[in-house]
Amino acid sequence: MSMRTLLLVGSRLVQVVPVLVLATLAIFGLLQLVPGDPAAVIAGETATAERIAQIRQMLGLDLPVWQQYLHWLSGAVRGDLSTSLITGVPVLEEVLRRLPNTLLIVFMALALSVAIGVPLGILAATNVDGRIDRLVTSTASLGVAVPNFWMGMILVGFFALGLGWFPTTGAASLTQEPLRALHHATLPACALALSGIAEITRQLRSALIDVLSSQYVRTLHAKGLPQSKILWRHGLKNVSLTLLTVVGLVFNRTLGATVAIEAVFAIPGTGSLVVASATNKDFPVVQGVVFVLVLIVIACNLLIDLLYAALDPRMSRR
Amino acid sequence: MTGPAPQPMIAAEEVGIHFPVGRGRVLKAVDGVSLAVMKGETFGVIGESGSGKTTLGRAMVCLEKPSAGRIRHAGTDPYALSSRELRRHRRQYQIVFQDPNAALNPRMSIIDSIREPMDVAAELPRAEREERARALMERVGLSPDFARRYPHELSGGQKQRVCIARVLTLRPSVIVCDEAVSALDVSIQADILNLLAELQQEFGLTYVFITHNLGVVAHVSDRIAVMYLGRIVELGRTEDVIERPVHPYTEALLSAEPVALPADLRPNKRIVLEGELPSPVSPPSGCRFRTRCRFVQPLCAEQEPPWRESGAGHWSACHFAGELHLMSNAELHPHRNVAERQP
Amino acid sequence: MAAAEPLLDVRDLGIAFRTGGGMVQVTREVSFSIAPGEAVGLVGESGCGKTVTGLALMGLLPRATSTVSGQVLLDGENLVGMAPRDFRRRRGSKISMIFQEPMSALDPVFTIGEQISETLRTHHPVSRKEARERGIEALAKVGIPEPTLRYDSYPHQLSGGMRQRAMIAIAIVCEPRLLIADEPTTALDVTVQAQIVDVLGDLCSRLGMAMLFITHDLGLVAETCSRLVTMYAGEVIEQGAIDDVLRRPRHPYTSGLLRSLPALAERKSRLPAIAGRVPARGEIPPGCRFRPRCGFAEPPCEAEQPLHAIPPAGQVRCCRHDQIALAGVLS
Repeated sequence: MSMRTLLLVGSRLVQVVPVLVLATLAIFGLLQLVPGDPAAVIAGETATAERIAQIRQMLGLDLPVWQQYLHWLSGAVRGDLSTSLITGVPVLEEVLRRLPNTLLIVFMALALSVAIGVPLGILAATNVDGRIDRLVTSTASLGVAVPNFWMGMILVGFFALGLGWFPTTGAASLTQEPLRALHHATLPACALALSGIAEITRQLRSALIDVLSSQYVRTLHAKGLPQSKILWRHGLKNVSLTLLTVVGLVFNRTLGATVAIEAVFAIPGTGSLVVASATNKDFPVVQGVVFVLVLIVIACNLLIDLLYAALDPRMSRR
Repeated sequence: MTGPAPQPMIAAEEVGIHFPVGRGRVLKAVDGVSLAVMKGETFGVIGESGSGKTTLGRAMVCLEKPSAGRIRHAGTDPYALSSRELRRHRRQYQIVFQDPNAALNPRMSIIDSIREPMDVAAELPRAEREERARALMERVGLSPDFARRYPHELSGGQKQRVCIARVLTLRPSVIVCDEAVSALDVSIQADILNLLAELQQEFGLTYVFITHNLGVVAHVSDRIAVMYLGRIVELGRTEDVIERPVHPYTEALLSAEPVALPADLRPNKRIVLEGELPSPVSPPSGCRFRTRCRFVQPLCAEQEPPWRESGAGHWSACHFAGELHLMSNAELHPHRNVAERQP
Repeated sequence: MAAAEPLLDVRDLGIAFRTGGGMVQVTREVSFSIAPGEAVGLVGESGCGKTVTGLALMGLLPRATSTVSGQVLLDGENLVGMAPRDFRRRRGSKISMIFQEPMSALDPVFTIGEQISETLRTHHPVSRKEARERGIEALAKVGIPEPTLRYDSYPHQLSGGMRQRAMIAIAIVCEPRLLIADEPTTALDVTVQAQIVDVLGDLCSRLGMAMLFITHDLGLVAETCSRLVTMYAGEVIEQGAIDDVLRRPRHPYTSGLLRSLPALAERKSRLPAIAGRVPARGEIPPGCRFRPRCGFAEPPCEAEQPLHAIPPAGQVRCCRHDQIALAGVLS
């Protein structure tokens, strides 16, 4: 068992390497397409051409792209994500400082998605085509369609500006002021959770309907098992694989959606960092943030793969 | 122009069909099979899952290329033909599958489905194709009203008739029927078997009948090959194989077949095979059937049994062919004796 | 008439399905009984209503889309209309069912053992340890080698035949009085089928369990059952002791079924097939439902056909049964 798990983890880690290389290449390549010159931005509007060239040389921006890439990559492997062109702060430090704010709203959103989406999905699946089911599914379709940031603005308008229950912007440190941090994170997390709830509800509903109409569930009825046991023991264990896949998907999407949400709520997280640095052509920061986020996504997928193998006996043979 | 001995319509010479199954292992679905199907006969292939009978059938019509040995069609090696010649040649060798639902395009009307092979061949004028399709449709017992209908409006038996009409359009000489009647109810099955028999007479067809149903294969076949784990274990004229099997597996297969007879006419003892079918990826050494054989001897594990003729045209692969006390004809078929006694 | 009180007494069972176009009657006036320990075969071609009847006996038809009328008396208790809670307590303990596809009928993410012990623990207050012991015992009873090892296997790790044995073990672990077997061997090879049939026969005699064997294969019924019930287009058209029916069927349909079996016909001969096809639900002809396909049909057949008693214990739904000579398996 443990040997098998180790092998599985090992093989998945090996598979991660090409994904990472591709991701970093993509980040580098895409940034080259962006018009404008970071050196010019740093030098300021009145700088001379020589000054700009000097800055460019200093930052290594005059080197060929592949050399810049290799240089950056060798640093990244050693944990050095270079420094910001604008502020001179090490990128890793900056990312790690902001990451907790982002992860807080992401995980809160994820928790909300599961906590609300799962019961709704079950409710809908156990009342197929009933009034509850129709209400839940149509609401869920709406939830998928509404953009996160728009939902965020509505929430701000209503609960923050209107009722004054929540702060409109900013964040607080989870370790120093946990309550205030949660208070700040509530509205952005809700805005982020909306699509996650909808997605989980819909997917869980259809997976559970499939399971409940399967032949083995007919066997369970034939054995005289109570409905509750069929649903909670067999139904849920069988849909847990689907649930796991969807949660992974929702996590990745939610992480991506922070870019817009952090802008709406002015949260000093990685999402707003990436937006700001991209506007300033602060390439090392953009690369660093995306690199760290890619690492997180890959780690999350790896975790899900492992849980999959643990949950589904049919997978353990591979 | 023909030689002294008639060429078999299909001759398999030491045919092996191997599939890689990962980690360097090979599944030998068919392993060293030799047989000859003669013109105009019905050749039955019987076996259980994993016996390789379906793979062999596919190889007979060039849907599967042998990994070893070769298949000859009336003396010619189809794989030596140019791809254009092969395409023409293939029309002679057709196959009907078990599931007509999978074989028919649900969005094509019946007449279009039947005409399609001729459309692809594109040799006859359109009007003639249409005419032949309609004639065949009628010939297989479908009323002309069905022409513009779609597969979902037809019953299983009717769909199988469509499939049969369709393979006949290209005027084949050989039809492989792979479990063609297995999914049908008995009364429909009887209808289709009758139809196939009539068509054989009319068009001089040669059939290869692949099935797990002993009743069907024994009824229609002139000769039978019994397969087990990729090998033919017994081959001979149907009455010889059915009445006087020499291989213990054939005996078990015959004995396992339930017969709808009153208790006093049923075999009073039955051989129930012990154990499970071994993995075809790593078949037992020597005789492949030895792990379940009630007569097993040490020799069976050490050597592969030779392919021997124990009676005229009655072949088997068993070290002890002819020496074993297999269930007698009377034990296997008490009803036949009764029937014979009551003329 | 029968000496012993029947274990199962089905009276005028009618099943209707709700469809887009209203209610469609799937079976009507299905009546038969099974004595304790008796094995009865229920045969018919696809769509005749045999599987639906089995599901109705188990109370497994979806309540929202089907209605069941008539009576199903199990040990004198009527199961039709019984409170779902009470019916559930009888499923798996007094009356069990096994299905055609052993792979899809077992939950893929639970071990065989979990699926057996769960049945036991649903109906009996036994400890985990005891449930395990009795589960392993049940696996041994159905002839699974190394039952202790197999107890912790998952369904996908077993062969088709072993899965069906496991399925049987689940069904019999509470030692039910009646087992409904719906085409339990159709998906299996002949030699494996022989093994499973042996197991079922052995269990019936050892546990004194009665069995309703639903199949399209008359040969299997001949081998496993003492009585035969034939269904056609949603009705019971004939029933009687198996050997009597095989020798002398009273209904033209039963006779037609027997005669179309290739195993019993002369080799290479033309098989006497039944003309036409089974009528679709909703296109059932009035009067005798077999009339359009029957070679013996006459004007009286256009009337509703009641069941006629055939002494000693048979019945046939054919008004011409005593006027026509029908071929059985020996003629």
